[in-house]
Amino acid sequence: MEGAGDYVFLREIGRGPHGRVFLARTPPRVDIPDRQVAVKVLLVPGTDEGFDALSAELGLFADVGSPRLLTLHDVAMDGGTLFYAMRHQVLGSLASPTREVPRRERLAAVARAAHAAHELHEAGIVHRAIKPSNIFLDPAGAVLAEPEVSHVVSRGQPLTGLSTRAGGFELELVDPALMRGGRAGRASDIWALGVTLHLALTGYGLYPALVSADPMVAVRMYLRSRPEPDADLSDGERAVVMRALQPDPAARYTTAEELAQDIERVARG
Amino acid sequence: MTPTQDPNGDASASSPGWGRVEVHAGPGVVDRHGDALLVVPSVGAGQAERTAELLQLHRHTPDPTGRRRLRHAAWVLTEAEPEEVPDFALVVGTGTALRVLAHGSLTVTVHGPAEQSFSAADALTWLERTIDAPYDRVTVVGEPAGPARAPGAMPFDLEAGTVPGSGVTLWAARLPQPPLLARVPGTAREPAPPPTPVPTAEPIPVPTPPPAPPPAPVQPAHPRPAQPAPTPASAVTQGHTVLRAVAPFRSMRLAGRPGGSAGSGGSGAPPTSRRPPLPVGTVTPPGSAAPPRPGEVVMVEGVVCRAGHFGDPEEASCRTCGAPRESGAERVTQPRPPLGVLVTDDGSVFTLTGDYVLGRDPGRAPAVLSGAAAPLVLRDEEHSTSRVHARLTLSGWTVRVSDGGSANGTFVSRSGPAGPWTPVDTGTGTRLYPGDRVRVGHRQLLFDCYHEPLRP
Repeated sequence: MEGAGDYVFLREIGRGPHGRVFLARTPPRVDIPDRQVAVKVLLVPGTDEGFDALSAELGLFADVGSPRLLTLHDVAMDGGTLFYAMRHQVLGSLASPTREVPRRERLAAVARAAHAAHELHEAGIVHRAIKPSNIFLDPAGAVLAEPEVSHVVSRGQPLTGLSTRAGGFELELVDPALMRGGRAGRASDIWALGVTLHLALTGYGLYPALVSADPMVAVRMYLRSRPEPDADLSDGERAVVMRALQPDPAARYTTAEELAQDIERVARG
Repeated sequence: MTPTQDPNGDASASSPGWGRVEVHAGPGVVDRHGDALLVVPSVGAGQAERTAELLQLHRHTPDPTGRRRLRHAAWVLTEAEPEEVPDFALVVGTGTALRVLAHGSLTVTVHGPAEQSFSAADALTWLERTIDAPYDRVTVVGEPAGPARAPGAMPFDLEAGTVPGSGVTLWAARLPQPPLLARVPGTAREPAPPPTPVPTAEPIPVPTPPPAPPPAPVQPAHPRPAQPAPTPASAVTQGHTVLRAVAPFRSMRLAGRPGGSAGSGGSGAPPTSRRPPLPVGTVTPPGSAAPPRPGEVVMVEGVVCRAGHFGDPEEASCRTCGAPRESGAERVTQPRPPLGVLVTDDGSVFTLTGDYVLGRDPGRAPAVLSGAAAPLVLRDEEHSTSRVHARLTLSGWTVRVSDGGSANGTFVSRSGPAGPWTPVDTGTGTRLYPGDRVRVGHRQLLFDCYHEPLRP
């Protein structure tokens, strides 16, 4: 893809189930000091209603105005293609950093993401997509990327359901309570933060038996298993993870802020 | 006055203030080189020679203030007989300002914070103006002004070169620019030296037939994504004409700074309204009722197990926690909880709170349109699933699947992916139990319910 709107794409820097991310040259219309930005192009086709819904949702996110949230610049639609531009974080994410990240920094990054999630919750926003690839590293402190937006765009269109790619850790990032009909909210984001913390510290998920080529079998097993934390965690770290991953949402941390403070307490040792 | 032509005609570097240059349909000629636009709404009989001269103005380089080009245009006007020169306007970008020289029945309109409009019709010689206030767009049209483009025709952006036309709309670069649909290179003729007489070397000061488009009869009504009109024999080169079609574009600038205020602008959406904070603590514990779809709560009769889970009285044990049913337990009527999950073969999970219509385009089914069922899209490259393929119906505590008259049929397996597949009829269908698989075309679905492992 060469570009979208007045963005000229330089190269692709990421690809996910909902779209592709490109490094692009900043057009004159967007008045910022950075010469390059990251542009995410959504796979979902765009309509006028979809554009309105997308810009409302991302506008709400941008309006929170927290330094712990990824900076978004611009939302646009070109013909039927929806895309938005954001700050390009050169240091990469917790999932794919451009250099080795010491354990203490990983703890700090997840704690900052938890603080950021709390700020979103206070602004009435559920993130729905907290994971290591959505926490970007930055010299001034990690930032949490924008939330899941595809469902906002395709509101009027057929449901795609929760997308879970068995084999990746996508499945266990989804709170089982959501699959049972529960509603997304603070508790499901806190679940995702717990899994993210575990992934960031150990590199492994909490459901070792979920290695199955068949997504259906994986979901069956997931709905019947309990999380098993890796041995490579300190007692404090394990306690934090397990409290975030309580099967009953009422037994988890009540706010992401509590979780953030617990992580920081553990980091201090 | 050596011509230093840019063979690529790429204007972007030399016109920082200009956005799109949209050409209006018409029988004349519009020429753009870098930061200079020549608009000739129509070329009359006997005016071809002077038009060709005007088309050569861009050869005055460097000319940062536009002075040399404007003065040459004025020289053409003074030197020639009045009827030899067509009505024209020359627009030169100098920094952020535009310098305009117009002759004849043309109107220049500036749209933006400072609207203004001026016509050269009354001037006996010519009209010269400088537009230095910020503008959104500037239009240059002959009088009487025809429509900018025929209905249904695509707008085109002239990046460089010479095309048929009778006016332009010049958009300021700072506004969101409609993006481009296609880039169509024009005829790239070989850059040639100034016109040489055809075929002999007679020193006749008359240049060869000009490259301007031929008069009206041959012209199309609106610019085609093609070359400038064909001209005979050797002609003065046009360089490279680049036309691009533009498409509708919407954008909204977001607040970029921490602590910044709400972003708006571009073709903006209304300012986002704030939401209240999310509720703290659990709203819906797992296994209990959640409103399946807005406005739809189904009340059913059931029993509450020892652990507090509301479930099917016909089952031997509680589906959620496994506690055995006590005989003679009291029946109560409560909202029905989700009856399980549907897992597709690509890993999508749907909660079974209401009926579903399965297919590759289930949105058309009457049940979906009326809101009685939700669409569940299942499709593949071979179109093995029909548009409306099957239906999942919830009734009380039971889940049934029925075929919707599909081409490839619907099947159920009780014993895994290999197990015998039993066809499903189009009537009441087959009852589903947790663990059953449903096959529609080449796609599969699993119906499962979730069990809490028994608490220690």
